[in-house]
Amino acid sequence: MSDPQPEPDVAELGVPVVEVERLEVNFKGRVGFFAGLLGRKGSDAKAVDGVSITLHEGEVLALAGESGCGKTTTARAIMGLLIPDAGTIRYRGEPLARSRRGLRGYRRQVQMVFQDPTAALNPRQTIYEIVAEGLRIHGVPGGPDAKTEDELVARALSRAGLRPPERFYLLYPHELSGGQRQRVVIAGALVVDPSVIVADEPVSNLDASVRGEILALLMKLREEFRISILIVTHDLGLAWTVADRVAVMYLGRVVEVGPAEEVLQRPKHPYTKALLNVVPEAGGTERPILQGEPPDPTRIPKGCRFHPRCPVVASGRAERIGILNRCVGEDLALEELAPGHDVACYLTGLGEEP
Amino acid sequence: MTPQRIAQIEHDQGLDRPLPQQFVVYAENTLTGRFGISFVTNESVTTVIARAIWPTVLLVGSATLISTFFGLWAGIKGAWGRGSLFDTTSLFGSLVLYSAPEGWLGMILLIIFVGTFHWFPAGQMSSNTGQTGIANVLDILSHLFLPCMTLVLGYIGEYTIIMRSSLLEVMGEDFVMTARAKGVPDRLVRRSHAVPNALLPTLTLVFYSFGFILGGSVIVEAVFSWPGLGLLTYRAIQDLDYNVIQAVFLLFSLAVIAFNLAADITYGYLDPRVREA
Amino acid sequence: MMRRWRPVALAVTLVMVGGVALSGSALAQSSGTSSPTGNKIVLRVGVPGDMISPNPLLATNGDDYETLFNAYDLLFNFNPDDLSPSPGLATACNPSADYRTWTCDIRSGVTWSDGQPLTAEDIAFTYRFIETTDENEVFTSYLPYHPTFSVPNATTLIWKSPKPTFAPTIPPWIPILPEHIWKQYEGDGKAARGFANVPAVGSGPFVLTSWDKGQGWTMEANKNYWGGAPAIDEIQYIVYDSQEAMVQALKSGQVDFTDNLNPTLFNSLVGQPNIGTVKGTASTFTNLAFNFGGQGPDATNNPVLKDLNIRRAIAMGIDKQSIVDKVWQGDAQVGSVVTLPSRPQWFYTPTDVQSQAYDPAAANTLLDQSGYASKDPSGIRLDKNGQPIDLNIITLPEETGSVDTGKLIAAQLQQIGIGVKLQSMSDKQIENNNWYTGDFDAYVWGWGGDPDPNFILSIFITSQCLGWSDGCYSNPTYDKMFAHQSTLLDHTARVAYIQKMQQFIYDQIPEIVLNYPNYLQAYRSDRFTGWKPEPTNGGTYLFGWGNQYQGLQPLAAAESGSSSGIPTVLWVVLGLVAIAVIAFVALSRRRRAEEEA
Repeated sequence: MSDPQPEPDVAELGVPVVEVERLEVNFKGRVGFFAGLLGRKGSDAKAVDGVSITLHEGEVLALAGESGCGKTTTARAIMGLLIPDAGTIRYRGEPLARSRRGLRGYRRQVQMVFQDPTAALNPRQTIYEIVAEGLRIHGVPGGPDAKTEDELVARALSRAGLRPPERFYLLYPHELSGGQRQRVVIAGALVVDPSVIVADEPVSNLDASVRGEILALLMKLREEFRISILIVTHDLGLAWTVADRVAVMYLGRVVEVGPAEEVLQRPKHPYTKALLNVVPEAGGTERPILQGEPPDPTRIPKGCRFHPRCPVVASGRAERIGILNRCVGEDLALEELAPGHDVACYLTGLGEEP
Repeated sequence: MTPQRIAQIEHDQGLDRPLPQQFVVYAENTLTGRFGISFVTNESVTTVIARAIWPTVLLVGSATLISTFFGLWAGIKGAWGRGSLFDTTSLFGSLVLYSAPEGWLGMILLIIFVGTFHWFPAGQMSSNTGQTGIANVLDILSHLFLPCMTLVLGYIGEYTIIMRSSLLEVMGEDFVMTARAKGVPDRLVRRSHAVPNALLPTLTLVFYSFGFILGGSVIVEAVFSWPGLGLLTYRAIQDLDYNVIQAVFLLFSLAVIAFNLAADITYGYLDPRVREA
Repeated sequence: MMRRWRPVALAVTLVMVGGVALSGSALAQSSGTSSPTGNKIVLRVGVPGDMISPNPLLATNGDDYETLFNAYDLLFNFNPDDLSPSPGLATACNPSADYRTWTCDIRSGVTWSDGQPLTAEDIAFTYRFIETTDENEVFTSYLPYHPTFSVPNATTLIWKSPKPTFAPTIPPWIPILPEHIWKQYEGDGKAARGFANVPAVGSGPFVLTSWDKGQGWTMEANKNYWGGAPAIDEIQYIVYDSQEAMVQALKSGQVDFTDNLNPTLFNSLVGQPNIGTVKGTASTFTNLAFNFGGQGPDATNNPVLKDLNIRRAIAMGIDKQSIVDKVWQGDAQVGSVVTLPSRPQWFYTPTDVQSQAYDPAAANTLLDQSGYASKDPSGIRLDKNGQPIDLNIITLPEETGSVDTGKLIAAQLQQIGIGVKLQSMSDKQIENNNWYTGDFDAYVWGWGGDPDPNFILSIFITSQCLGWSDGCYSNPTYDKMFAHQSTLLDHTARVAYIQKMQQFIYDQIPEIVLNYPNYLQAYRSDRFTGWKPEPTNGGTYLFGWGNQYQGLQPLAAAESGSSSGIPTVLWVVLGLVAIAVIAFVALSRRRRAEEEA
């Protein structure tokens, strides 16, 4: 992995671009056709339950957590791909429109990069068609430095590192390598000059050898075009490498958010700490200390959602310091611990380290 | 029949020769397009089949076209609005139709449209009243209606179910999500991303079944006395008209192979991944 | 993407339009000379199967015979009352004192449908033609002892037989063919059988004008028929491979008559408005025919069947009434003798019917007393060599009722300790594999045939083994009886003697006559009147013994012309579909245009 990027100070944060406030997304339980006829109902799942995060201009924000914690759902809600049950999402201060026409301008600004580039590319379209699609939807920008569609596609491809671009025009996705495919996905996002890119596990499906290249490409985009990037990842090591700020999610809630340096070197939440335990960059021991069932969004525990797996509870320390009742019984919110560093844990109120 | 006469027939048919020789003769005759004569009508098998082939192409062709069109339409609409009233109804209807035997469907249509309402002819392909031109075409169409509907009902369920499930699968793919995220309008997502990719397996199935329903319309053609290959087969089996049976089964096998080939070629044409390979 | 599909759709559409056009033109060609229906009076007859051929040398099934009945004359017609010979082309045939020379008076002024005169010369030609050319022996049995024919003048036919005979009065069921058409095929059976014979030149009340193979055939009235012009103009025979479709066609008035219905559908028609039903007395019987193994050294028949006591026990072990009830749903009579109830002048009731009545207990007693008392562990009796009595019985799926009858018999014979192995096969398979070699013990089949019992009685004589005999039954006493009846030229004496022969067959049981199934038909009672059952008492309305169509008179519904044509509703349906498609295309165009704007 490349060296850690220099993190900007909290004070240097740009203006907020995307603000998510108290976002809630529920999934209706789905049952089979015949079970439905029998009147059975599936159990609902609270995938996202009151998430608030802010993405600033030119910032790389990592949204981290285990699978099932709601990070991808949050990203899709930000993309407008699903309608939240509650909460607001604002783009440069304006709440997102619900109408298709209203979302159109927003969708030009916010582009998405998926985990599996093979699946994210329509196998029946050429690279040119794929990259040009955004332009065809949103129109080729006019103005004094107007360019043709062809030129814009070429520019996007070369910005994404596919040079010479003309060589790729008529190829199909299956004719490219995994890394090249992810570059095509990125080019397809870049072609409309977005201000935000939401990348959902952008490198986890790629060979280790090309991960660094793709990450470097994303960083370069941030540097050169001041594009804000939201990276959804299960890998805190990756967040460590690229992110300015990190938000750690557990069972539909953000449990800790703050500058990457701060959160990853001095985690305040036992969950963050547990995750970091397997990250070598953070001096982890590679010995997982997380135990118990992976979280199930259809059965959310009372109190602190993490308590069934929390090492502080399991070791008896919570009982000793007298917070156990609250841990297992009282819901809790994020509290600011330091400027820009928020944590949701009863330990912090006591000034205890996890 | 005297033993002499029987010996003569056996000689004419080559049945008095040793089996290996009979096979060589059969293979030679088949390869040179000589299928012998029908024992029942004393005509050459080629004539009998040539007479039956167009009615079957008409019946199976129109039924396939209509059932494909409506089956794909219902499958697409159902998958796109998964869980909607339309989807639930069409899925249930498809399952019922898919499991209903064609002969039974035909009987039901007969009882409703012929026995009760007297709307359509009960069978055959024309009224045999010597009309020509447009009147003749309309006469054939009115005879075509019920057998064609029976086949359509028989196949539409399968097409709907396959199209629905294959579109549902494609709809979960990231590239559909990507297109939506890019702001591609819903109808365009469906038309240029989801449906074309979901069509591949469905169209392959349509081609395959085209090869089979040439022979598979036996029951429907027998119910409606439609003078096609299916009825020919049905009668030839009843009458043990071996030469005809051999020839139609050869034809059916060739049809299956030809349509498999056509499916493969089409698949290659539609799917760039296959085209290169 | 859609754009790419357009050429494919276009191509498929073109192929289909081509299909309609080509099928249409093929039909137009095959319909031949028939002109539009117009105000012709057309009788439409639904039949469950097609003709096999209108060529007499290939005549096989009831449809072929009905067509030949209409298209040609026989030497004599059949009196509808008792099916005895009545004047046809011949007004009378008189024997010489020794019954070796018959002089027949032939009707004058008869013409063929092509205008040529029909004379005694044509009849003589036809009979010679059968002798030389009928290699399949469809008709040869009507001309016994190789007679010779001479024609002293146009209205006289002389039939000379080497032996005394009453063959001309049986009478011969041989359609009289026009010499000027068939002369070229004389002696060349293959060429003669290859002659299509459509349209057919004949002298009967109707002329076969076209045959649309697999769909049906058309006969037009012969307005010059010597017996008087038929009142109807045309008969259309329409083939329905499914009886259900045929019945629906009758209900909706698409056909005026349906032939040969199965009991279930027949019963569904009883009492329906404007529909009449016809329950014709049997013209066939079904039998369980035993094999006696005269075919040759390969015969694998069970010798135990040669024991009359076994055959009697089997006869007593079969519940014929249960077969009537379960297989024929009541539409049959319990069988006894080999003549038919529809031939009243020959039909005979045996004197001792009770001796073979269903009585499994008596059958068991008889078997116990006849030396078959010991049984194997499964309850099957052992024969005198200690082998279990297992009969290999063949059934024919193509013969209505055969398979189901076989199953009932197998279950019933189990009750008297006789095992049955059933085997289903087609008639052709039987002929090829079993019948010639004698590789079977019995089969469930049946017979129809001439009004005169000469033929049916002949199948039990020794010399018919590998001819028409079912299982090579051989009994010198019976052989003598049959030879004797051929010499009984006095009708009353012959009737009495033939009753004796029927009694003999009934007692000796070379086969068990199981049932006489009814012949079921239905017709529209609102379209034609003047139906003529044959035989008069309990016969069928059509497919009887000829000349049944001439008396048909149209009722109002038939006068108004045929109702065939495009139903209005189809126009409406087609119109709606077209409008829907156009609207669909237009709407999706507009929506697309909106989207892309």
